[in-house]
Amino acid sequence: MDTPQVNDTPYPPPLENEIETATAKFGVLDYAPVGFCLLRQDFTVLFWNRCLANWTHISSPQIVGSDLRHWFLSIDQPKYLMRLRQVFEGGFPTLFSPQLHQALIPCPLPDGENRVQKITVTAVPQKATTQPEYYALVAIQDLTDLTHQVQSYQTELRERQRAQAELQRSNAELEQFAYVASHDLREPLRMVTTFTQFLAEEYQGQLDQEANQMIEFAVDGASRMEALIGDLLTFSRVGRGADFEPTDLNAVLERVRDNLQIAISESGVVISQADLPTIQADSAQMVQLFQNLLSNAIKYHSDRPPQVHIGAERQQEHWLFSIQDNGIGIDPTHAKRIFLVFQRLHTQKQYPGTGIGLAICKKIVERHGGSIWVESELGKGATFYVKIPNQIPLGLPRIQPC
Amino acid sequence: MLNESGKIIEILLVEDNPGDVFIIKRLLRQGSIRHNLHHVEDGETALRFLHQAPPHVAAPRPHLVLLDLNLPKLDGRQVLEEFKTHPELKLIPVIVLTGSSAPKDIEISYRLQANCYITKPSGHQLYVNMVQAIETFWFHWVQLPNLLAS
Repeated sequence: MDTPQVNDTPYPPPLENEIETATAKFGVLDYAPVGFCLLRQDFTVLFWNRCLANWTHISSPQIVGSDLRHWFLSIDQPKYLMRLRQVFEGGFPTLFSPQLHQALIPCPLPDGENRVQKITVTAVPQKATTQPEYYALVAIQDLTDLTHQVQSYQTELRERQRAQAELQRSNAELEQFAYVASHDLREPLRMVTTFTQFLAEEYQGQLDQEANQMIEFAVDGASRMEALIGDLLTFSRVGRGADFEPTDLNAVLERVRDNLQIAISESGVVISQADLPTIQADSAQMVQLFQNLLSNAIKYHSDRPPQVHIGAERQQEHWLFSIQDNGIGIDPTHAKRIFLVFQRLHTQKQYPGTGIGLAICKKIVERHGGSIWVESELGKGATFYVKIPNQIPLGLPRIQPC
Repeated sequence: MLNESGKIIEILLVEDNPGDVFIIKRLLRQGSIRHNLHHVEDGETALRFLHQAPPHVAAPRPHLVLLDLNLPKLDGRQVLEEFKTHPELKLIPVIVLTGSSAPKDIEISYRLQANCYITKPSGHQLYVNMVQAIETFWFHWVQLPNLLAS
C-alpha cells in the first residue's frame, strides 16, 4: 500500500486535509459494488463511497467529517468498540459475519428488509515514518442474494435427504415384504403341494382316474403359484441389484447360452451373434435380461427352424441391442402390454409361463437408464430392442422403489 | 455305525408345523433306523428338553436335533445360539430344517454353529429323498460323539 503523502504537513493535520487526502486516495472505490467507509480513531468518517451512500441513503457530504456513532448508535457498544480499537491500535483486521453479528452499518433493501452483510475492517497506516497509527477501512459486502441462494439450496438438500430417507424406509419395507413372500407365503403352499402328492403316492391304486386328475390339478395349481411368488420376488429385487461395473456382454451371452443349453439343443435353434461391447452394468442383471429375451425367442418359435440373431449397434450416446427371431411374432396392438407384470398372450397349455419375464427385462433396462421395445408382426418373427446409454447418467437413482 | 450296534437313536424334532411333523414321523417310521422321535413345538420347550428341566426331567440326551428356524416364543436362532454355547450340549449335531432359503438365514445359522442347513423340500418325492439322505448320512456314515450316549 502506498504511503500517504502527508510527511510535510503538520501533525495532527487539520481535518479538511485528512478528508482531502483520503478522498484522493480512496476515491476510486466509488466505482466498486462494495460499501467502503474510512474511519479515524475518534470514529470520524473520512471517506464514504457511493455504494454506501446508495445503500444507506446518507450522502457523502452529509456524513464525512462527522462521528459515525451519531448516525449508527449501535456501534457504541463495548463489543464493537473493542474490536474496532484492535484495528486502530494493533493493525489487526477484524470480521463481522452476518451469522454472528448484527450489521455494523445497517443497509436496508428497497423492500425494507436488511441486507445480509459481511463486514471486514482492515487497518490502513496513517503515516509511514512515525510510530504507526491506523485508520480503519470498513468494507461491506452484500451477501443477500448469495445467502438466499444458499438457503434455498439447503432447503432443497433437506428435502432430498428426507426423500432419500423415505426411499430407504420403503425399500426396507419391501425387503421385509420379500421375506414374507418367500417364507410365510410359500410355507402353506409347500404343504398343499407335498400333501396332495403324498395322497397320490400313498393311495395309488385305491383312487380312480378322476380322483387322480383332481390331485393333478391341485398340484399343478400349487406349483404355478409357487412359480408366481418366486417371479414376483425376483421382480421386486431388481431395484436392489449390485453396483455397475465394466461388463463384457460376450461373456454374458456365453453364460446365457450355458444356462439355456437344454432349450437350445432341444429346439435346434441357430443363434448368430455380433461382437458385443463391454458396458457399465450390473452383470448378473445383464445375464437375466439376455436370458429372458433369448429364451422367449426360442420358446415362441414357429414351424420354421428357429433362428435368433443378437445384434449390437453403436449410436451416439447409446448402444442399441437387438434380439431378432423368426418365430410366431406378436400382434403390434399388444406390443406395450407384454412388458407389464403377469400379462400373457397365450394359455398355459400353448406356452407355459408366469408372464413376468419381460416385466423383469423392462425393470432391468430402466435401472440402467435405458429403454426396451418390440417391433413385430404376427407370423413374421419379432425383434426386441434394448437401448442402454454408454455412460450411466449421473444422478440415476441407484435405489429405486418397486 | 450306530445303527448296526443296535442302539436306539434319540432324535429331537423342534417344529411347529404339524404337517412337517406328520411327514417326518411317518417317513422315519418307514425307514430302517431304530429311533425315538421326541417332538416339541417351540424353542422354549426345546431348551427345557435339552436341559432336562421340568416337565422333561427324564428326557434322554438326543443324538441329533432337527431344528426349525421360525418358531413361536423362542425362535430357532436363539435356541441354536443358546445350546451351541453350552459346554456339553454344543456337541450335539443340529440340522437346521426350515422353509426359508433366505441367504441371511443360512449365514446366521452357520455362524451360530449349525451342523448343516436344509431348506424343506416341496413335493412328495423330494421329501422322501431328503429324509432318506438324512438317515443315510447322519445315522449310517457319521460317527457321533460317544459321550452323548448317557
